[in-house]
Amino acid sequence: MKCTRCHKNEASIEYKSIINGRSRQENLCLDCARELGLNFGAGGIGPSWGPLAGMFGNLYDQNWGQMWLPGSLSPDQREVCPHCGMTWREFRNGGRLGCADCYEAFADQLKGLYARVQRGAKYDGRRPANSPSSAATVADEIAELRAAQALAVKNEDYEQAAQLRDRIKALSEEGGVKKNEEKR
Amino acid sequence: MKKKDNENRIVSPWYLTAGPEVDVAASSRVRIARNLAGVDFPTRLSTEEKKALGDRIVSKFLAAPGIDPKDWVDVRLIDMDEPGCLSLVEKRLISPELLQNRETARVLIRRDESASLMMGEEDHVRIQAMVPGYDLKRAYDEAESLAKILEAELPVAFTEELGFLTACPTNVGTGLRVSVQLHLPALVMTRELKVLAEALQKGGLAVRGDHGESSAAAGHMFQISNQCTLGVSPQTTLQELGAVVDQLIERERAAREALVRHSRLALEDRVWRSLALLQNARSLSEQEAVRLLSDLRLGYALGWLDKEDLSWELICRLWAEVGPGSVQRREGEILEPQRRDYKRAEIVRDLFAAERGKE
Ligand SMILES: [Zn+2]
Ligand SMILES: [Zn+2]
Repeated sequence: MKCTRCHKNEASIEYKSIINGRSRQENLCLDCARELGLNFGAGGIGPSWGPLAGMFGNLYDQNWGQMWLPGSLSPDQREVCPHCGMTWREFRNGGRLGCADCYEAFADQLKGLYARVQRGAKYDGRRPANSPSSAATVADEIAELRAAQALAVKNEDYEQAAQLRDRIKALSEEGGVKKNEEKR
Repeated sequence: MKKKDNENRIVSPWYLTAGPEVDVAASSRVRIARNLAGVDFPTRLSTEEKKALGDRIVSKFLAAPGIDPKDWVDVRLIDMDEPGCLSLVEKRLISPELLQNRETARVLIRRDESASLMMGEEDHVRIQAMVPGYDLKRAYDEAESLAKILEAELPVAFTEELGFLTACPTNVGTGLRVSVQLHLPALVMTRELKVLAEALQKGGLAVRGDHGESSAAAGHMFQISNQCTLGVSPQTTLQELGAVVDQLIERERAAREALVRHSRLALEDRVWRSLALLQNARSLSEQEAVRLLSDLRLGYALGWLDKEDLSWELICRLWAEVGPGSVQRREGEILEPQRRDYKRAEIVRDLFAAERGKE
């Protein structure tokens, strides 16, 4: 999309502005944004953005507050979810994803969001009650083996403990499980 | 005949009982968001698809082991009148957002009103459990057991990396929203709450007035809840919120003590006046009713009103009945504000009379 001010450069900043009570969607290139006095450093476009502060009364998305700022759109942010057809832009306007695959399609962009509104980017909790994934069963098995190993050590049955250790090691090296193990 | 008996079975609602720290903490609530695997999120579903999804969840859940279908009431909001829907919001059995999607919205409500499953909000299903007083663990265990029952019946959207997937990334991970409803009249009167609320918000916790900003302010009822769902375990979420709630309860009690020390007479006068007004008024706005009830709650917590004057149960019942939805629901029709206020005062007087009749 071209910049709505100079109509030459590619737009990379998107925000809502309210001028004389009328809401407008603006898409600016970096140069125009700078000229207008919008600064977007580490703190993003904050409440103190230069001479136009009074004019652009509502840079804040209604649903999201300031978490959406800075609102820079890099080219990859125009990606589409292959499953449901949701675009990043559409999501930003509506605030709701279209399907589970959106998490995959917008993984990079969402990382920035997690950094602002979440505690991290890695889940910490239980699996679904009926989780059929093999990773779950392997991880559970490892947990059980660990418990058995601890018990063996406590009972000073070192031979048994060593066998268990080897089985845990073998299981841990199977794909997909490593990540979960690191967490524990 | 038997079926009718069943439907009319009277189960005392959960909020009439007392719970831990109930002098300050009115209730604890846990809400869990879940979406089904292989089904798009609601933004991408047609009306028909949403209805079918509701059918699927309801039928699976009610048939699950450990669930007695007789314990649950199945409500399609489209079949319920406006006051009925509003009263569900007032009792926090459904969210205001669910009401916005009334055409497809559906809710399963446990007969004691302590739990509900909302379908038709931004996620496929939201499971909620409420308990009286400050008891996060109990509310969490309740909601979790319902979530697990559902997960065992239906495949849910989940990845190892991100946990439970939700329509809004602010809920992804645990999908967990834990909150405690606190009655903080003394912190409001001493103006401490404003400062505290700002500090809490910076710490990643939300403090909100309870249903309807204006009546919340009048009733001094506030809700404090967690914000993060990713990168933090449910146990830590409960612990962190609990630590803050502990502090708020302590501060409120200290503020009450200070108030009593400095202006006992004025406060006592206020409590007794409020009681007299509730017992005698011929017209009560929601705002006024909630303000007066807040005084009764405080008076009761301070031990000034004993069982002869009124019971805790009556205070809780009154609190639940003064919302515009509940008032109009009793009347069975939409009332213009003035008539509604007359009706509200009448309901309050009737409930006091019923209490006296019990003795
Ligand atoms: Zn430009
Ligand atoms: Zn999608």
